[in-house]
Amino acid sequence: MNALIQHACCRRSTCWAVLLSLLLVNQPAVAETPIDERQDAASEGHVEVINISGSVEVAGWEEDQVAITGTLGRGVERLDFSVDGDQTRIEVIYPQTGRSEGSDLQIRIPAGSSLDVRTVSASINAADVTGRQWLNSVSGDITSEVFDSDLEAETVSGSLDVSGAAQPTVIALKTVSGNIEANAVSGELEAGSVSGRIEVDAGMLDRARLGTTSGRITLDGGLASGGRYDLSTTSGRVSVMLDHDADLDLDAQSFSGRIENCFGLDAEREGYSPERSLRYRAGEGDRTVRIRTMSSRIEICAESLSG
Amino acid sequence: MTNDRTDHSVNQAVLEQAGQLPRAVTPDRDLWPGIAGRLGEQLPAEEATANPAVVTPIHSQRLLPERWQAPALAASLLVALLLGYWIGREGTDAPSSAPMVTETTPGTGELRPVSLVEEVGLLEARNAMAAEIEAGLDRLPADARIVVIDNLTAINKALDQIDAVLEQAPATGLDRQLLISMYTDQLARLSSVQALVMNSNQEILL
Repeated sequence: MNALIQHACCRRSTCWAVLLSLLLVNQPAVAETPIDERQDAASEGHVEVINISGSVEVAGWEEDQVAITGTLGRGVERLDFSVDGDQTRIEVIYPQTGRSEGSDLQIRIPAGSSLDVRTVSASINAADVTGRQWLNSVSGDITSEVFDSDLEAETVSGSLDVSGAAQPTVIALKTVSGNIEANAVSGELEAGSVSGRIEVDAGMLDRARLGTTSGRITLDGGLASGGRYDLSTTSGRVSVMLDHDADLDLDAQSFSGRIENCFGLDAEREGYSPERSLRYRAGEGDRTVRIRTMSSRIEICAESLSG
Repeated sequence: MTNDRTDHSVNQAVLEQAGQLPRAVTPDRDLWPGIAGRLGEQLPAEEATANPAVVTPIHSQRLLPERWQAPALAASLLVALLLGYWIGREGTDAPSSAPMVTETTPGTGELRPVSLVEEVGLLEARNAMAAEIEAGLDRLPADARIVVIDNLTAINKALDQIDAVLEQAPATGLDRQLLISMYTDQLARLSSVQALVMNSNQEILL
């Protein structure tokens, strides 16, 4: 009997040992790895960054070098970092199978570089980059500064936060559910979301095209002479505060929502439908504002009239 | 990625073309009395085929065997309706009691109403984009997939809502212009979602 118990214990301990070793084997083999690499790069080259999870922070600097610091997550295979002519490529290579953790990259690039960052869940933050930017994530939040080059940023469920330097440029922002915020942007802005909120505090826009399905749209700021705002949503509320009401050509329509304004006008019913519209024209009428909603409320005013 | 972007630009082109389509489609007057009047005139003409004393139109004698006359009548009715439809596209605020455009359901000969969005090809664009998005969902991580599906539902709900109002409202031209604009705007949202899903087809995804 004792022998049997001893045998069983022995077998049990063997089992535990095997299980423990199996567990250990399944753990990522490599701990977090610090990164500190740099290479010479063109002052106005193109930098491509790919990282699935974690974070990507890119900052422009005056050096003609690309420098990377940060950490590779546990279980990550390696960091690929190559410069070929004016093309720089940085990619975190994750294992095809097995668990791995996200990697956090802090990257310095020549300020005049164009930048293309793609992630899945990693957040993206770009600052002081004056070249063109393409920023794309599935669920990561994206933050960027815009100077005089164009920006395209899109994410499915992350948020987009863009700040401009009041220099005219072309900005395109898209999300599915993420909120969009754009501050001090000038030039042309296109922003669209299905259910995310869009908030724009504009510098001086020549053109803005903002659209949602159910997300709220708030636009506050300057519309240049000859400029145009087009805002559209089905059920998201729309609030617009223009810098002034001079030379304005406004046409706001809602199928069944209310239209409130500070122009001292009443929205009119259209024919036999519940549709309401508000039209206002002042001066040359060369600053065009068009707003349409299906069922949601429109609020529009100009700072010069808001008291 | 390049192909995805090409697909997206094709869809953008479709949307832009859709945007060029006339948006106000209500005739500026009630066309039905005129059509009914023509129908009334048609009856003596048909009787004339059995009565040589009445002059039969030359095109009827030469080109239209008897078995084609009924379909031809239906076709001419449809053309008349469509003409009225498009002539009235610069429509005024005047209310209209114009009949809804109809088409024959294949195989049944039964007339059914044609949705306005179907008529101008927007439904086709919508279905194509929705199919591409669904096909691309596998490229997304599970949580993002749920977000896209939820938001796709929201867009479809909005589109159906607009479509339903379009079908039901005996609306003014302006009214339909707004609704069609809203519809194309939502198609643009759908196109954006499609582009986002397709752009997520990256080599970086595991």
